[in-house]
Amino acid sequence: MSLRTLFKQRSKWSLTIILFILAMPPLVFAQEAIDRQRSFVYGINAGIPDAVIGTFAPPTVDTIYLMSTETSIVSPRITSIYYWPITNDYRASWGILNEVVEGELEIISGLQTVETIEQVTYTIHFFQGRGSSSKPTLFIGEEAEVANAQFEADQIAYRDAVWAYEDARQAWLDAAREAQKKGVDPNLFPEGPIEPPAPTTFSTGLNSGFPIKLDPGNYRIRTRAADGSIVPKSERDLVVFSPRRTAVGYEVIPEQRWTFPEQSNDLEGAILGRENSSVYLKPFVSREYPAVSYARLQDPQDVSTGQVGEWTWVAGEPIDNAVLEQVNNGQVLGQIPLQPYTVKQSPGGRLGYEILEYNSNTPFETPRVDFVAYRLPLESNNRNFSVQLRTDDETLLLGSNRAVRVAGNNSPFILALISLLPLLAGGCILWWRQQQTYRLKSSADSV
Amino acid sequence: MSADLTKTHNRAGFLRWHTIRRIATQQSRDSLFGWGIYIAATVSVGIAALLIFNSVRFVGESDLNVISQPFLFPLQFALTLAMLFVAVEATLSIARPREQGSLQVLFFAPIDEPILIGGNFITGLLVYVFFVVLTLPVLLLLVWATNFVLPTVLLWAVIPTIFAVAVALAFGLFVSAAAPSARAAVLILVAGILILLGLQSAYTALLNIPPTSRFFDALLFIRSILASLQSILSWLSPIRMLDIILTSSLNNDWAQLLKQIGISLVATAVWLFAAVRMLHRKGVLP
Repeated sequence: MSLRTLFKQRSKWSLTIILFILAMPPLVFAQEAIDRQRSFVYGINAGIPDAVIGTFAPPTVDTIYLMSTETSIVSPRITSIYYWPITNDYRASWGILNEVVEGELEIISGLQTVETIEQVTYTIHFFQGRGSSSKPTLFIGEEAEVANAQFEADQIAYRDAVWAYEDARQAWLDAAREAQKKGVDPNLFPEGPIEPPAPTTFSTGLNSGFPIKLDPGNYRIRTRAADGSIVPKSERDLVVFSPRRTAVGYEVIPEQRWTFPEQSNDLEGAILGRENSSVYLKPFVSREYPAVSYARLQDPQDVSTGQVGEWTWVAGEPIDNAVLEQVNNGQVLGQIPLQPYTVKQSPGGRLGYEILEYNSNTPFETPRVDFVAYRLPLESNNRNFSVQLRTDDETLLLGSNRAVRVAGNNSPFILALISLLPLLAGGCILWWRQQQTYRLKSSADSV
Repeated sequence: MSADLTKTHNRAGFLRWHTIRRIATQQSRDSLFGWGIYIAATVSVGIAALLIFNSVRFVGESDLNVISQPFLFPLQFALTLAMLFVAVEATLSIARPREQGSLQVLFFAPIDEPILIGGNFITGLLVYVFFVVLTLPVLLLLVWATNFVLPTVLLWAVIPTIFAVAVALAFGLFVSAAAPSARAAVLILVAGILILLGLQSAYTALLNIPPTSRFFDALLFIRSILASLQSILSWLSPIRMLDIILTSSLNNDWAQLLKQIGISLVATAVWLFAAVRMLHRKGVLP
């Protein structure tokens, strides 16, 4: 039997095999592109002062970084992970697999287990906007269930309100059309229904995990399953850190380039400005963290930071309940309130900006608020002072003090002359020494 | 009997200390009445003035200069130069007289290796203090003229820098005791300084080079190596020690400051001991 005859007789099977062969390469490539693995990971909701950072630690991450000042949640999970070469990290397919690993978390310091944590229910509520009022809230245990129930009730209430609004709006539109047909004056129409405000709270829903809030230090963690065994790949190092310093940072906005503000974070820092100009200060809470720890809290798979021993200032919540004081030698020279400002671009070919105090009564001149800040004038008769913040209840904000200077003489000739003073001093000393030697020599000669 | 022994011991200790003081006084007088220290001080103040001028001039161009650590670099530069000056003098203090043959003559007096090393060590510290006393008022004058900012804490931070200088001196004395000639001693010191400065500068420079992309960093390996070397440098390099002492003082990081002072003391003791042993081994003849 020839090959051709065989092919004809088994045409159905042949076609299937050919199709399979043709389909093979894409299948193989697809498998190469995303090689998913079922793996143990820790889901992390790391609490920081004004937010919660959601990350996860695949088995390649041997150290988890958390802050000591906030409660964080670490959730043991079995999930599907894959390596994503474009971003050089592992990704989790939570939608495909998200299995809770039952057990308790052991926290070890040195050789001793310092804490054993049970898994609890939690939920995190996020709020729209920025500022201290929009800080996410973490609910744990029964509180989480109550908060989640409330959140769901609010969602249902909103949904019902939207439906009711849609019905009312439809009825109002029908009535309006009817009235229009009858030629009723539109001014006599009743007011339309008001749309219910959209919810400003978002929730992670109910989840389970280990709440962690520890003193700063180095620990080791592992998950012990219900049967007493240690869950494979669950042993990791845990670094808990805190800010070295907390202070008030300032965003410093120069008048002529307000779109390029600078930051003054260091407590010993200084603001140097030009005579007869103004700068605008926007204060915020600033915290100084170990650079590596902070970077790896944000992204546990980050390996690019090699700055061991370096520190980084992180801008936090804005401060809007204080006045700025100008101080010289302990005396308060004046108080500057926080005010809204409007920026006007200079018209025509002349480039530059004009910053005007916002006034709602002059909508043509100041149509909008561009920023809110303290205006700090730098005048020639007040070249040397510092600024500090005092809250509404008269409390001085620690770490808000900054030296401010109006730049002085920058003549290179004068600076060069000053630099020569050590040489002049040397010349004087050597001349004096020479005179002494002559005197001694002449007195010795005379003897 | 034991009281007599203690008395003799105390007397011997007093005599040794007296000789160390004599050497230190004489050597520092020699430095004071030479042009070297004044030229070095003028150069250090000149460079500090250039750095301050640069900051003040920048305000003229951009209307604003937010400085995170004002006056740190000018002061650090001036003190580094002071440290290098005394280190070079220490490096020559044994090698040169040995080469000239005068060290052999000196050892006819009741002087032994620890006394000579101790005397030269204290000389270096005194010269450093004089250097600081000479340059600090001029730096203050510069600050006044330019209306620049000088944090008070930085003035206090000058005091513990003496511990970093002590390490540089002890290392210089070791090199001086070990080197076959004055020229070789200076060459070894310069090579050492260049290596240490190179490692430190390379790390600082790399910190300012951003990664290749957000996810990949072509310099990661070099960064990691240099970052690891920084902790070693805090034990080896007096320049790095000076940097840590000034920065931790400015940041009110007392734990770090005390740690670095402790490291400096240990390093000084090790180099001084090594210098004494080396001088004993090499002898006083060229």
